[in-house]
Amino acid sequence: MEKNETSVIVNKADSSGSADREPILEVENLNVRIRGERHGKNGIHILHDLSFTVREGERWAIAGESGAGKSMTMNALTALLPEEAVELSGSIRYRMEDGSRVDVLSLPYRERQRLLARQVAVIFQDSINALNPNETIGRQWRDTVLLYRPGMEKIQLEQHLLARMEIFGVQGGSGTLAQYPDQLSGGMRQRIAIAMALESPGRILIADEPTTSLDAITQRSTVDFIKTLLDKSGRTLLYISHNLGILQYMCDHVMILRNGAIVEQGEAAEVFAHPVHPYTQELIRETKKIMG
Amino acid sequence: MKKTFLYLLKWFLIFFVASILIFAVVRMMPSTPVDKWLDAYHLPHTEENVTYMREKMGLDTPLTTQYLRWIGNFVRGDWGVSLVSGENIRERFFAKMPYSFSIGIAGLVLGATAAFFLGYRAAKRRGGFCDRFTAVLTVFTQSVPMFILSIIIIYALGVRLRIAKFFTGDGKYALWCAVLITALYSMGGLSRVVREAFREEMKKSYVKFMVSRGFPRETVLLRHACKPALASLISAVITRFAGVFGGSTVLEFAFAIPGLSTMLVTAMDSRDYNILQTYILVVILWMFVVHLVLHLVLQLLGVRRET
Amino acid sequence: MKRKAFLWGIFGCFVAFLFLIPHQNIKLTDLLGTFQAPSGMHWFGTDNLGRDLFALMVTGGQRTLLVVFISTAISFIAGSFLGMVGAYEGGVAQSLIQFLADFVTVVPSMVMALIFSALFGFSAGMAGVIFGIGNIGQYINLANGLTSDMMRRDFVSAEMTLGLTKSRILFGHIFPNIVRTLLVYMGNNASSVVLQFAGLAYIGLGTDVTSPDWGTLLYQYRVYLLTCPRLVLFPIAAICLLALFFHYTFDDGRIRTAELTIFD
Repeated sequence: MEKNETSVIVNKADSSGSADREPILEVENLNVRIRGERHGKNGIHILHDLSFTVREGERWAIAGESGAGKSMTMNALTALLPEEAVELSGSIRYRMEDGSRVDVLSLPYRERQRLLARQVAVIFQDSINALNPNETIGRQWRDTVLLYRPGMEKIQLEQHLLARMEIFGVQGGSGTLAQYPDQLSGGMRQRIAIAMALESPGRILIADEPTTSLDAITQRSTVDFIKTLLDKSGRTLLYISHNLGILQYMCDHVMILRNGAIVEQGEAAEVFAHPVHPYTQELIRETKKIMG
Repeated sequence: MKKTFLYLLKWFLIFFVASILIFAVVRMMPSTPVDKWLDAYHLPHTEENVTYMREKMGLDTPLTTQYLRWIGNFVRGDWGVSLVSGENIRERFFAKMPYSFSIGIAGLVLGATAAFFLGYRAAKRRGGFCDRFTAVLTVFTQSVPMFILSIIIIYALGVRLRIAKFFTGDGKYALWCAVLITALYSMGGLSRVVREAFREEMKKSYVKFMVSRGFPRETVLLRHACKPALASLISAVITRFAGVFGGSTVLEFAFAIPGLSTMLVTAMDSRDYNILQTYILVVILWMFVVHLVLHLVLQLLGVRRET
Repeated sequence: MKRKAFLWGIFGCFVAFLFLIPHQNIKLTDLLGTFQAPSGMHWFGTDNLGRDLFALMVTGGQRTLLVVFISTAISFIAGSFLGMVGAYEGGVAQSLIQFLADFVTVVPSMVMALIFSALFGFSAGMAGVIFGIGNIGQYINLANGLTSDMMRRDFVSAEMTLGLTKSRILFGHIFPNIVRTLLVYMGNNASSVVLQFAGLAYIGLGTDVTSPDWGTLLYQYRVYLLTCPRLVLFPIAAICLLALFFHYTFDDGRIRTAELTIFD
């Protein structure tokens, strides 16, 4: 793997009003290696010394070409990497509801997963297939709600589901709940998947290219939908995509990844207007060319 | 509705074709039951004797008449009498069937249940104990024949340690051993089927999504992703069932269990057409019942294809 | 790849050895020289009738290989062909082929082999044919599934549009893509034929001295397990080793995927 030419460039350090807000996620020197006899003695070094700070309410874009380590970053932040095959070092500190900071990498794997499920809501690339094909929508949704609020009354639960369906624009009421995912349209499944992800009380939403498998119109409506939700709830966002257009539309901060390292990070407007790193410049130039 | 009809039609055809086949095969044999019968009583093969016996056994009528009479009676529940001893075949079969059928069923149920959990554990910890154990077991069952294991068990438990009596007494040790060996042999391959199915599910987005929502990984696999694995297990059992039944034939022989196959061997010696024919039809009916039940279970599971 | 060539080399030598090595007449008994220990004269020693065990084992090996060859050839060729054609043609042809597959899967081939060997006498060729037919069903199902998967690939529909002939598409383009999986199955199947044949010979009226199959030998010698274990151990070892060999030679590591999941 080629070594990164330059160290991280921080573009005009945060000068906006958000600087005084509390950091909600601090990542320091995050390194990820894949172990295994097939990968040599030291394994494969996938992420190199990632450091960034996300403050409450910010909307971060994680950009870069495929293979740059975007999804790997997300998986590392959410404890969704294989436990034994992957080695993580550095620190990932989340701010809990009570204001304390916890370095999740110091927790045992199981513990980390349980904790993060309550801290972070996750939407995946393949959100159309994110539902269990062998269980009804209702069962999956109920199980998810009960996970966060154990012992919820049955009637209350049904009311909650119907209310959420209203919010997320899932039509059909209890009829839909009795259906299996393959009986619904792709757009509908995606809304349900997002709705289920957002049952998590987490203050952070990480979306990993949630729109890649969608057509342009659905893509646009999904992006708008997520944006509206965020505006209402004030959640912090990490949005992963290679589509600079969407990122520019959604986010106020951006970090550019290349070969598993951050080449540039800072305020979105600033980075897009005056990219410093040559790679970022090229990326933006090429995107503009395509967009016309 | 149409599917059910086609399913039943298929089985009707299998039954029908098999009955014609076995009917034809037994009549192509070089020596006939008449010869065997005359030999058994040391009677000369004169024209008169042969004609008389043919008539008495009902073998003098045209083949189509014989076939239709036999199959008609079989369907009505009259399985005829043994050509040699004159015993009622149905009674004999019903006395022997419990042995043969229970070895297959009990062994397979036991083996499949164990295979499910072993396969689950093997999938969960790749390269762990269960993973290696099931892999070794699979190779073992593919390279050591059942009857060799039987010989070793009989030798070890019966002859050396003298803790089990296989050929004397009520034969319960023999039956148990046959069941356990059947279970062991079906366990090997089936556990790998379950493992593959689980690993296939582990790659799916919904599993990752559930874990990200905070479901413990074990719960996700065992409670929410078990259906496809169960379905693969049952499908594998369906395709292997005939082999398991064939295997129990060997085990009956090795442990001297008085099941259907011992009867089959004697019937073959005396060229007893009726018993041979009936045997095949009974086996097919048995296969039908087992397949039907397992297919119904698969239907009830209702595994959906992903879109 | 090196390991595979090595295994095949050994196998070739083994087959040549079995068929070329001069050995004593297996029918020759020597009642004065029973239960002799292995020696230069009798490599594996002699049995209860004073026959040369090595000669018996070699003959048994030849017969076993014959059965495996006939059986796997029949089921591989017929099964793959029918399965592919069925998936390609669909409709009535597919239904008929599917019926055949179901039929032979449902009728236990072990039982059929027993009946046939009792009725027409026990012979290796016949056992091979019956196991071969009995195993066709699984090859049909496998080839059928694999071909249907292939048919959904873009390159096949492209070839159909281009107007390539049916046989060209099926055997020139689809077959090479699925043959790897079929061969792995064939390896496992060959192992199981070795075992099936041994089992059949074990029950199959194993008193025929002129057909010294490994299973037959085991049946004859099982009473000497205590007094002369060598007689039992040689056939057991031969059966297990041959089955193991087939299992490993056709095993293809490239098919296995090693994708990591969150459970690893």
